[in-house]
Amino acid sequence: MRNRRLALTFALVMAAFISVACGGDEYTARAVSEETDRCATCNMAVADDAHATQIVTKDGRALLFDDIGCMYAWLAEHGDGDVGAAFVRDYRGLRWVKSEKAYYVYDASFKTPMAYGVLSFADKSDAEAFIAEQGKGVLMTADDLPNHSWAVNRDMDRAHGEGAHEHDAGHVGDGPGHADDGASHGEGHGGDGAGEHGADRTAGRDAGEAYANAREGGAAA
Amino acid sequence: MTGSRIARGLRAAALVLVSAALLAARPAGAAETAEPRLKQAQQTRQAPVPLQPLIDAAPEGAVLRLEPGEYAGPATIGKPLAVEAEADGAVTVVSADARPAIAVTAAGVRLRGLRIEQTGGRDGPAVHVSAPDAALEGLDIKAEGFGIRLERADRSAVRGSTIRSSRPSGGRFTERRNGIDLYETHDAVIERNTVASMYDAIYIENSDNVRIAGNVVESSRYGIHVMYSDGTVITGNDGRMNVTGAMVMTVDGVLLEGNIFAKQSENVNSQGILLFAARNSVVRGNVVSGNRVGIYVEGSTDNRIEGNEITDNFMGIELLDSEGNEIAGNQWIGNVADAGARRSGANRIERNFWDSFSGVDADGDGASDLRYAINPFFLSLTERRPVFQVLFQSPGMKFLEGLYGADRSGWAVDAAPLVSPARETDRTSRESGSGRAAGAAGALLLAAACAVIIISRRRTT
Repeated sequence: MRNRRLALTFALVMAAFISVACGGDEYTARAVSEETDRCATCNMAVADDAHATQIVTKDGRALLFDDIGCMYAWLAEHGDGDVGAAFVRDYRGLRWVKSEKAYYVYDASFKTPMAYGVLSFADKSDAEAFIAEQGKGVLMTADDLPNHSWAVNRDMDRAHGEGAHEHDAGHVGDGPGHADDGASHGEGHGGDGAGEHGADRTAGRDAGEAYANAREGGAAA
Repeated sequence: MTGSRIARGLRAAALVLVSAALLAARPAGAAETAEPRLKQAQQTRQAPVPLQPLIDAAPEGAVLRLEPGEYAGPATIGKPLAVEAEADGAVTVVSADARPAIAVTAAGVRLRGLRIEQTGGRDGPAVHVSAPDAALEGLDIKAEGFGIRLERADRSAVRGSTIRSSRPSGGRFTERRNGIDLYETHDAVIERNTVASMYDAIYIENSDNVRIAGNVVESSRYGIHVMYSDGTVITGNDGRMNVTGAMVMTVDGVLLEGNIFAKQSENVNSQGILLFAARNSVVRGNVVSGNRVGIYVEGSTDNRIEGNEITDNFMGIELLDSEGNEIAGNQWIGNVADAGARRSGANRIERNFWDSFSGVDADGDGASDLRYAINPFFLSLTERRPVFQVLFQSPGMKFLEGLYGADRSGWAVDAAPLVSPARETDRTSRESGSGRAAGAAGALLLAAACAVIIISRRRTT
């Protein structure tokens, strides 16, 4: 009798322990409040639409962005040391998706609040269908984003005009390569949160430099 | 619902009848030119006259003068043509289609004096222009979605028009669309319009050298929103009760002069003027009054902010990550807090008047010999912990600011603050001039009344 009670207690304690230990990744996205939320990068009001993204920091703060480009600008500036999780929204259904699990479609002509032209989808098939429907757009995965040029459409125009093509050339040349990467990385990707962050961090900085270059290019032109 | 629709139909029919009667009573010459269109109006007494056939029938380069009455869109103008209302406001173009009520696809089209009601959902603008050199004047637009969209319509002008949302007041801003929306439209002119209750009242993107002058923008999300556009001139506009009066982002060489941005305070993120990533721009002689933040400057370099009147705001000016700017000759009066600055040390700030600062002017040159330093403590704190904003101006916060005030390197500092304001202060509205005129008229009336009384008294005696 006593043994059984002991066993039961032990089982309960173990269950509690396991649930705490394994349920570590408990960051959740919160809803957008249009009245009060402003983009942590550009200060614009965050609309409750498909372009909103957010970072939940390790101490539970939610940073909202009106455009995924602003989120990557923030990551480029601050690194992702404090980042618990990053979320984007499904373009079709508006549900929040972890940024590393989403698929992305980029074209300079897509209209987004800060004109970065990157849209996010929960399902690869939806993203592909969108590209087919629009007749334009490059499919990307989260792995491709840190290397994305993050040029806003105006910068692209100006860079073309002024012949400042360092980031242009990289971008155009990288396009097809990215698609391949996406296919091979897609599966083995979801599990290891920690390792991935480490890798992303340096990549994020690179993206930051690319971003800064892009802005410089735009301003110089 | 249906009752009101019937009533509207009856009213429209009555209008057509009345206008027909009026026309019939006019001299023969005038009636003759109007006859063909009048006939059409009579034939379709119940429904509005389709606009497209009239446009198709008009020869290229002609002036199509519309009789008073209701006309049905959507219509496309694909040739140079002027479409005018015979009398301003007497012609209404209605469209319940998702397409624009009026689409302009040819260069040099003119629209004048039309009322346009677009009820076909949020995505179709009331007027869409996709060709250069259009002139839109005196339009009165009520739209569920966009009012006027100009895309690749260089040198077009929108003047003296009124645009408002047909959606009931309140609700979310995202349910609305922009009032006047420019995309890749250079050298355009937007003058003397009134835009209210829209998403962004005036929005321009990738459009250089646009002139935005003398407009009234109110109760919208952003009054004037400029993105990725260089050389914009924003002058003499009135912005009231928007989330932000002028949102100027990623621009080069913009001039903001002589505008009034008042009472942008309803939203927790409100400000009068916001500059983000602005370069080589000038903000001069504006009045920012009663806003949450008067002028908010982030990531902006090499701008001049001079001669502005920053009155009765919660926070006068906020500087973040901004360097190489010149801030001179402004006056801060009656703000709860004058300024906040963070990572913005290298700006030239001098000869401003700060009413909360007590300086000492020993040499009598009008400027204080003590410097006015802006403590960044509160901003640093609330950037990390936004909820601490409830401690705004609390005694404890003042104490902590003093405690952390030892190292002043990197602070924004007015090197020579003025000891008295340079100008008269109360200019929160443009009505002071007309007020004086009204006063003079009143005095004249009073004098006349007195004269009448005196004269009549003399007669009775």
